[in-house]
Amino acid sequence: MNTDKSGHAENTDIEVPTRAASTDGWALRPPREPVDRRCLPWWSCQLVVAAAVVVLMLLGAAWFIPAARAWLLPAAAVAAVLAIPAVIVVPRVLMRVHRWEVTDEAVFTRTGLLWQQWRAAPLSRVQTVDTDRGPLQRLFRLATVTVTTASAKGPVRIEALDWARAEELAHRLTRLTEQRPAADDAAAGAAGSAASSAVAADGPGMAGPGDDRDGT
Amino acid sequence: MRQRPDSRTAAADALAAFGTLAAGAIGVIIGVRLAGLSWLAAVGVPLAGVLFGTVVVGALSAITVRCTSFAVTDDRIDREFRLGVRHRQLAPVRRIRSVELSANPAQRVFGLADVHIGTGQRTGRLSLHSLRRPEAESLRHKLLRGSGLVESATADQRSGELARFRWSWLRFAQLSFWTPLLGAGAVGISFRVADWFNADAELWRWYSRLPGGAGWADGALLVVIAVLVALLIGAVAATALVLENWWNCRLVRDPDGTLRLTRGLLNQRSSTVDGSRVRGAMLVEPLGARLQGAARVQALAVGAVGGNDNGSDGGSSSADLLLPEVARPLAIRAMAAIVGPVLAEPLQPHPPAARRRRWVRAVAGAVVSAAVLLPVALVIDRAAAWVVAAAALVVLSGAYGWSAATGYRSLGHLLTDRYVIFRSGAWSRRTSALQRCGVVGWQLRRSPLQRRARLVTLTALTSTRTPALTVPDASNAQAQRLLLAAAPYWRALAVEPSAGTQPGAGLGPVPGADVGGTTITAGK
Repeated sequence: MNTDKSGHAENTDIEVPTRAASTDGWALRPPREPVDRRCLPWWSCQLVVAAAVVVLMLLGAAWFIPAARAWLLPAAAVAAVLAIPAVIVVPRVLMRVHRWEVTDEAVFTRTGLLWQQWRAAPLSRVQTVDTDRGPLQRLFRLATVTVTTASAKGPVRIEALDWARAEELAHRLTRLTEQRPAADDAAAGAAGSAASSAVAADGPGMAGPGDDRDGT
Repeated sequence: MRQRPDSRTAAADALAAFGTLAAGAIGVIIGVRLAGLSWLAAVGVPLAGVLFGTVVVGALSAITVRCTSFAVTDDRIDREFRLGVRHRQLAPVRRIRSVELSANPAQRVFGLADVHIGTGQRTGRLSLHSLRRPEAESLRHKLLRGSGLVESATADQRSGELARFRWSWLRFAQLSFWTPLLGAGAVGISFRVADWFNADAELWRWYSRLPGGAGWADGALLVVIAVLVALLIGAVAATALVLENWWNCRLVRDPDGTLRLTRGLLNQRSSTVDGSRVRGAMLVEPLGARLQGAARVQALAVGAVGGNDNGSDGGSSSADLLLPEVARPLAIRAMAAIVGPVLAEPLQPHPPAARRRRWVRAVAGAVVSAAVLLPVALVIDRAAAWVVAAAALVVLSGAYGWSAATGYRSLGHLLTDRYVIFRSGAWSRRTSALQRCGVVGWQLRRSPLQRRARLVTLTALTSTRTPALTVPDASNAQAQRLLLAAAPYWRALAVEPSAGTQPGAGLGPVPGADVGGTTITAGK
């Protein structure tokens, strides 16, 4: 699995778009990288655990409250039956809709099947890059990369990456972040000269070193 | 040299405690009298309680004064409390982000004031209780200078006094949600208190004596009168609230952008928002204020700011309020002083599809209301029920339609060379101007219906206490233009608009399916 991860990691240049814009004026393609295929068993396991908790709670309630058994037991059965297709289908759908991409300037994620959500965090605003491996994730050698900006709405998360891939990504993000002077450290009117035009456009006129950091 | 709080602190605290307790005691006395106890018990017991409380508070305060000391050097301030154990708080002067003074009425009698020092962190607040007023003022100056909040001044003609309290502000106080809220609260509390003393039967009798008599028509009249009286009480209370909060208000902008606000009738507050933390401003126009041509102004600022709140308000930004409802021209002038004349330019309206979406929602709301109300009326099946249901339906449909039309008119956005400006909201219209460099990321959302209507909800992520600014239902093209201009890194995901179009590309029901095939090779 994931034999091409190094290829992915280097594949950061903006490629010539292969598809044309659609007619409705929407011309943003989804980020390029999918999550690791092992997300399927991982998410399935999570769903199995969640379903088991629900079913066991219903069964437990039925055990202690004989009066309500008549509807608690069918409810448990329905939950168990519904869980089976969910465990099979939901991870596949999630895998298809979760996308991420890191360019030299920003981290992008796209999530959501019906309610699509694009998120972008410019690297000039990245504060920390964390890699987490949850207990279940460890079973499948998966990790979550969390990219924190000062945003009060929370960090950008890329779930279900291969361990090596996640480490590499965290490294790369850290390196890229260090390379560019943080935009919010640039004094008013004197944005860091090393900053690319993109960063400069994003962060002129800031004052106060690191002041956004206190805002979270 | 270590300093101590002023020795008059204990007297001031005792006086403050006496005032609070005495006010409470009056309520207790009324309640106990209603319950029918003798005057001796009704007055004597509470009075004893008040005296006892006053003495205890005074004694505790005297002990605290003896045990507290503080010292200010050029680079740090520390406060020490020593009573058996030692508790010490340290704050580097360079980290200080705000210095605020406050004084309750008792403290003002004795010429004292509290100093609250904020370091921008939730936990890092340091308060010095009861210094002599001039001493507090000079400490505040010293700390602000030491932290560099004052000295970075450059010439700027937008500085100076932005607003000063005017009696005319009070006439905007009544048409706010506070009026019904406080009115209902007053009625609720009167019953609550009566309940403690088992006097609610008495209170009911008192209420019911007002118009007199019984019967259905009289009952309805009674309800109408009760509601009117409650609203009247609410209006008076709302006015008093504005008076207490904003009496003597003075909003000043320093040349470096620092905003200083002093206000308050009984509880005087003064707060400072460091200029480097100001990211923009927001004009808020609730319906009532809009009818009167009024608006309030709120700062969009990073980190801990505001008056005497302890930063415990989770994400709420009421502490960033700079002006209450004031005449709109004044609000706009104040806003222009903070962010420049950004509101002078017309905003980009959103496409007709956004209006259609709102009307569809309004019709759906009316249909759902009908589906709920009519069966209820059918079940009850009385003339009165039908009348009430029909009236409610008409009112609701009108409200839905109004909010659709107004909501669409409110929608707008604009990107200037330094600011992102968003405007939306029907019941409460908000126009926010956020510095482009205050945006730490972007978020786009599209629901299935929005995708069909080619609309997108744009969110600018910020680190201000107002967590994010959102404008719904921009057209796809508008969103794209805004993103590429405001955050060029989105270029990476932009697809060149070219001739060979594929309708629905990237937008299918399972959008992940049509990502360029070459890159989805992992693990296959």
